[in-house]
Amino acid sequence: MRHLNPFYVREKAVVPELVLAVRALAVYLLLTQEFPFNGNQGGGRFYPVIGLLARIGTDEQFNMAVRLLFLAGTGMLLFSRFVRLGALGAGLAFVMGPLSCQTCISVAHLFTGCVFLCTALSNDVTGTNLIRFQLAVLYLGADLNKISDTDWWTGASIETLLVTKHQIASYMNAASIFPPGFLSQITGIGVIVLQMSIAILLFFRKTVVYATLLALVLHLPMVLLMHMTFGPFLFALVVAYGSLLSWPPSLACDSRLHSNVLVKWLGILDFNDQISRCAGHERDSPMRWLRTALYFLPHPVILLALTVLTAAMVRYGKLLPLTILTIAAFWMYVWPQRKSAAIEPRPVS
Amino acid sequence: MTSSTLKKWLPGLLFLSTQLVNTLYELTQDTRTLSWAPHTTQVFYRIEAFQNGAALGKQAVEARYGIAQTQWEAHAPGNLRRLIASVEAQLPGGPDSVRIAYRRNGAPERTYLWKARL
Repeated sequence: MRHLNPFYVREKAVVPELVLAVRALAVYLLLTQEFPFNGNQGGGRFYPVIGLLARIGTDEQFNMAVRLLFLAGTGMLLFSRFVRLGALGAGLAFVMGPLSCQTCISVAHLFTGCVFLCTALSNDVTGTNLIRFQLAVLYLGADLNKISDTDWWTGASIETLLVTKHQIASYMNAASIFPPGFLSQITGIGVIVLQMSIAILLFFRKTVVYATLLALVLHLPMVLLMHMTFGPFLFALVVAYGSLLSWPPSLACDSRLHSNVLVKWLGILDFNDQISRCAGHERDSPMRWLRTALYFLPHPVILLALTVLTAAMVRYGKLLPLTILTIAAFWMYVWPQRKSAAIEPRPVS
Repeated sequence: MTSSTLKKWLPGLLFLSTQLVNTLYELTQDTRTLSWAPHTTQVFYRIEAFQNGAALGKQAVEARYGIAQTQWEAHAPGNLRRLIASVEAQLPGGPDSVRIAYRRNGAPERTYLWKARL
């Protein structure tokens, strides 16, 4: 029965890091309504790329089946021990979008589907490595597309994206300082170098924190400049990178540093026997709350709260505070783990 | 690596290898479907469809092809050509010809013309 509890992440076929990642992603997608044939991904089947998909049922039946596949998959991965089967359903629904609808082609949705599918194909031996290699394949593929395109070396692609298409005033002001096209050319070449560097760093587990740092440098300026999160893409990226950090099976309270009240509350919602209570009763302060929230960040309840907060900030367009929160979380929680990043996650019974 | 370890790695590695191979294959094509090409190309296009010499209205064009008549396409010009070809191959009552005028990454305008077989 305890597998019905979405906060319970032990005793699954995949490591807790992946359970938490796909559960957070599923909650985010449900809250933002970003799922196949919904929102930005079109209304349903439309001249499929694969002819066979055009011959399965009526459009209404097909679209309903894809939506049900996603909902059943997310339900299963959230409320059962069959996380892989649920992730397979959700992932297939996402891949079905671009395959069965030519006007729904979306790299953001494809990547989200691949995070689910990599989880479905993971096990106790592969740990989180398939997600790591999936990220490497993403950056390598994106970089090959840019390397082989002259417009990325001349800057024409960036110039069209940021100046002609989105008309971003801050970028245009910065570009006006330099000779015409110079900033776009430097930015285009910079993106090519950054993406290749990230792909190379991701091939080694011990350098994933450095890859994450470069990913922030690559993606966050685009979020602020274009004021968009590219549908579910950025959150899928965050959970993918987040899953590469080790989930601590035990978190001990230090009464000299942590808030006794907060730890007590987290203890009530501790379904994984992860928390040991505080020994003393020191007086609370905002600094203690911050230290407690940071140290207990891997607690599933805190991760869910952050997921809901992120969905709300994206919903109401608060991308600057969200960016600051992301940088703060990286600086205070992820960066200190650069020395321990080489440790492989293992299943927790 | 033991055979049981290999078995556990194999499905995932095949999945990732397929993506890489498909990305390389799509580099040789003018379309981007299941390819890792996020916002790599910016194509500004305009679709016009003609019946007996008269242009179809904006609503008729958008209803037929499922996309805006004039808009940005963020993948590849070939995706537009494939869409027009697919619709005209399957949906009856189509126009005599369809013209897509497009500019890729701000380059000079190019034109693709689809004509019904008489």
